[in-house]
Amino acid sequence: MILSTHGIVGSQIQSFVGLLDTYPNAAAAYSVRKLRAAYTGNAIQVRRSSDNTTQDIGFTALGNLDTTTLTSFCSGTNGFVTTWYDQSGNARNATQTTAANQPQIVSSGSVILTNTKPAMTFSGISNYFQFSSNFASFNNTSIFNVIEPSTYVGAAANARFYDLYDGTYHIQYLRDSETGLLHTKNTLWQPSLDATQYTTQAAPTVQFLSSVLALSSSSDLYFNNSIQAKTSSSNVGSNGTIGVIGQRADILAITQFLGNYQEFIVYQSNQSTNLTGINTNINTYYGIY
Amino acid sequence: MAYINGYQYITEQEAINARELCDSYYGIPVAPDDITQNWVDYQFAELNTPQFWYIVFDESLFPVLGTPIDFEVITPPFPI
Repeated sequence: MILSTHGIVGSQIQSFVGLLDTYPNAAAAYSVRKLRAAYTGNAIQVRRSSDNTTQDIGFTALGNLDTTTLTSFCSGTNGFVTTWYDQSGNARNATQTTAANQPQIVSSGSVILTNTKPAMTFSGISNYFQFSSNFASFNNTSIFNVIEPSTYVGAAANARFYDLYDGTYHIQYLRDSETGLLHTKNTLWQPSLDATQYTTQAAPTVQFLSSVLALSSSSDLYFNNSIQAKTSSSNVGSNGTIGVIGQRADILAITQFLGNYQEFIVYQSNQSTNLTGINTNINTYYGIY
Repeated sequence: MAYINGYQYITEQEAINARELCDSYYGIPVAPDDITQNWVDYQFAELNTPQFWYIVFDESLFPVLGTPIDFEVITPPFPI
C-alpha cells in the first residue's frame, strides 16, 4: 500500500512531502505550513505583547503550524510576527524590526484564522515585512500568494500585496483605488506603461489564491487557478531587487494591505508548466476554491 | 495627498527622540540582538514644503506622545 504524503510504504513510514519537494527551487517561500521535508527551521518568530519577549514557532509532525506552542506562549495576550522564516533554503527571511509594524497572529490568546488555518493580520496602517536579503537579477518570476483582504477603504484602497523593486522597475501586485481591480505593474513608480489587470473585482473578506507569472515577454494573472488576464510586457529585475510583503517597497504611507496573509512563494523562473500543480497543492491545503 | 493622524516633527532628530521615548517606555529592545529594535518608526514627508518627519498614530503611543493631530502628507499622484 502506498500513501502519497503521510502513510506507510511496506513497513516503512513515508516521509513528509511538501510543495517545494514537488516543485523545488523557490527563491523565497513563506507559509503557515511546512513547505519542504528537508527544512528543519521554524515557521515564524512571535513577540508577545505582555512582556515583548519572543519565541520561535515551528511545525507539527504533519506540517501544520504548531499552534499549541503558539497559544501557550501567547496565553491571554496578543502575538505579533517579527520574522516569517524563508523555507526555500536561501535564508531570505521576511522581518519587521519595528513593533508597531509587525503583523498580528494571536489576539487575546486566540490564534487568528482564515478558513480554519492560521493567518497573520496586516493592519492596513503600517504593517509589512521586508526580505532580509535581495534577489539576483531575473527575467522570469512566478509568485503565488494566499490572502484575505479585510477591506479596501482608506489607505487599503491602494493596497500592495507585495512589491519586488530593483531601484527602477518593480513587480507589484495591488488593488487600484479607482477601478477596484486587482492587477500587477511592471513599471516605474509613476507608470505610463500600465499593468495587467483582473477583469473582475475581488471582494473583500474573501480568501483567494493569486498566481502571477511575470515573465520576460508577458504578464499572466490567475485568480483561484483561473486565468484573468494576459498582457504582453517585460518583467525584468536587476541584481539587488528588494522584496516587501504588505506594502509598496518605498514604504509609501497609503499603500498598506489590510487583511490576512497565509502563504507567499516566489520563483525566479517560469513556472507556467507547474502552475496548475502548484495551485492545486495550495488549494488542497487551504480549501480556497 | 494623504491625511495622516499622528505626530509631526520639524527635524529628524525630534522624530528620533520621540521614537526613543517610545522604546524606553515599552522596554524595546528586550535584548540587544532582538529582531524588534524599535516600538515605532517615523517617516519622511519628502514631497511636502517644507519637508517634515512624522509618526503615524497608534493607540499604544498615546501614553507616551500624547494626543495626535491631523495633517496632510503629499504623495505621488495616482495611479501609483
